[in-house]
Amino acid sequence: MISSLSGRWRFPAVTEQRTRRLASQLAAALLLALIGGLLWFNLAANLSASGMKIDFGFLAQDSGFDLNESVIEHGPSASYANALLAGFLNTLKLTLACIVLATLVGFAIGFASLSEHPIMRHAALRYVDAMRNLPKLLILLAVYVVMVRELPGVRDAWGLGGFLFISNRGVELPAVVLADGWRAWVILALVCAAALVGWRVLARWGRAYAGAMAAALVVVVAIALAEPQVSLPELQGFNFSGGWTVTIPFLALLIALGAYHGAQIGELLRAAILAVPEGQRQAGYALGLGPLGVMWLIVLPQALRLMVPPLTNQYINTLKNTSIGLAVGYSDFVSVMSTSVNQTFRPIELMLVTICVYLSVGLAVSGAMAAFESRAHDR
Amino acid sequence: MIVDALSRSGRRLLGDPLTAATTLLFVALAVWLGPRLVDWLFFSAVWRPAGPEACAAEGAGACWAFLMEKWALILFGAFPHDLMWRPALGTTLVLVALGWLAWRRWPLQESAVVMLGAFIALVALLDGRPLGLEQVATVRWHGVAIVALLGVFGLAAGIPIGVALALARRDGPPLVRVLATTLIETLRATPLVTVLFFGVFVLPLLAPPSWSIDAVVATLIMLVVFHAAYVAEDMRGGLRAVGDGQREAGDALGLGYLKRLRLVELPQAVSVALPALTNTIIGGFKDTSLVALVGVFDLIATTRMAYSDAAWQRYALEALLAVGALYLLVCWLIARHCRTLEEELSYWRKR
Repeated sequence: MISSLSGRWRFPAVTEQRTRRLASQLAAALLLALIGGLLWFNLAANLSASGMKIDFGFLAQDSGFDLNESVIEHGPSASYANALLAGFLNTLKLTLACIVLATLVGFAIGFASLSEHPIMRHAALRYVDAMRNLPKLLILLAVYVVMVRELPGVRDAWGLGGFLFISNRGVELPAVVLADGWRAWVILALVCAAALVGWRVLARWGRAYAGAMAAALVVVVAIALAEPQVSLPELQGFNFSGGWTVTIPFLALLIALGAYHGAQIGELLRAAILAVPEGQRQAGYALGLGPLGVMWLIVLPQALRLMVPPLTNQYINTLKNTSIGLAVGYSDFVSVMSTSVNQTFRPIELMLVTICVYLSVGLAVSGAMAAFESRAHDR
Repeated sequence: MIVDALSRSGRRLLGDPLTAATTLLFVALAVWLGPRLVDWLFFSAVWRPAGPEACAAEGAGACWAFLMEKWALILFGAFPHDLMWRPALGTTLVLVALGWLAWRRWPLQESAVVMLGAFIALVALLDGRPLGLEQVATVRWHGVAIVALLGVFGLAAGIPIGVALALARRDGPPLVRVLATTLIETLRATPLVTVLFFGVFVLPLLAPPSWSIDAVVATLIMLVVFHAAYVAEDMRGGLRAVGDGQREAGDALGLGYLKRLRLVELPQAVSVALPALTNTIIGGFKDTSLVALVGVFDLIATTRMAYSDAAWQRYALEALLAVGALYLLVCWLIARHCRTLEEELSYWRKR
């Protein structure tokens, strides 16, 4: 009996396990070193064949291309580094706008999909289905071609009392201009942030009222020093001058990604609200709250806390998905990167920069997420 | 009974003023939009093959004549016109293989063999040389053939590799674990467009100088790796949900590592991860369209090619609607099939 078992049964010999683990570790290290070495060897051979070296010095050279829209100034004589920064800021600008729109759409869709009203609920659910089953690139192109086809030329722009014009160049809005350009905006934002921090510090010391007054004073003085002026769009010849232009590519991306991610955020909200236990709702009604009160005071606070991790994920997805801007000629980070690769043929350096930027944004956001979650646990 | 149902739905639609107002709003919208939409799509639409001037006529609706004129370009792109049967046959073979395997519920070994066979058949038909036919270079592989090649096989290869990555991340020696984690997290943090650019620009530099890696091969490799990272993340959740008890039970039965995975852990992990995997599969299939941004001509890129013709430019929306309907159908089929699998698996789990 014992002998027949002994063929299958072995007492776990600790030393044997340790040697096996060590051996597999060594084998893995060797294999990886081999693969890494092979890739490095190929890379070196390919680079020397075309007479190139890995060198980030080109980032300081003149880029030689213009961007069709940019938050900071960029022209052909500005450097590649500047072009990449401008592209990244364009990506951030678009991402923020998309996040705001997608959240609004998402909350509307989420509540509608839980509505008692059968038509409303079905409309919301079918909308979510359609967005789930269509490629975002297709949605973007459809929005874009409709805008290009239906919007009038600059001279017949649809106007709204001289404040707002819509044409196939974009939407012209009145703008607040500061005397010193975008730098003034940055300084103003920093001053406001500092004032907010100061107010919080003073509030902690029991000087909330004085702190609020001081912070308000600082902000008002800063705004006055920045000399804000309102600039209205005006038709001059074949183009608009003054005001603030929202370009067609930006608008098409905003609508397409807002609709696309809005549907997904709607699903998240729906799932989060359904995940709040029914007992909570009944307890709310037992306290004498109405349906709105139960939603606002009992269900939503709990649902939103459940929703934070997937919502953050969705916001990071929005950041990543703005890279389809390339399809409609929006100068986002990836589009600037690909133009730069085509001009310099330095794919390795530019790819490293791009991946590092996305990775650090992603890591920063997930770090903030982890901090938030541990704080939520502590409560 | 009927009166009862009527009064119930009446209450739900008109119960209080707010509900009634909402219903009214929807009815008004339907009355205003519905006839216009139906008229544009069907009655006023140009259905017969005609030139662009027929669609430009006053009051003309959707221009389906555009699709009749350009359908070959949209489906097969610049694949040589008289050889179009090859991508058509190849794509059909792939669809038949998928349908067969879906019906057979994806038996492991059979799936591997059939998918590999379908892949070889598709590539052989597109390239032509292995069958003794005229060669067609990969730069002219366009349209549905690209969707079948990249969309289907990118995922088909990505799923097993993703499972392997998830296992490497959990069970591998520390060094492998760190590398797998880095690979998965880097790929998940980077947009697919960037990953595809990496394939097109950097991958050829990493291959031996004598190899030539063209855009189709590079995007296929990158899609496989990209999908694998997402599948690995889904599977990690599934494996974690199965728990240590099952693993220990498998060990106690004297199963080896591979047998334990195949018989105990993976079936349960897959059934837990299936909803997440469904999302990854549908998302991955849709995102195959992003290859259009790196110069590979999938269905969306050929559609753009069709409407870049100045005479037809105004009817781009019609072509995009048709392609969108195709995507809706395919993704709906995938979702439905995955839901069926889910139900069957949960039934099996409950027993």
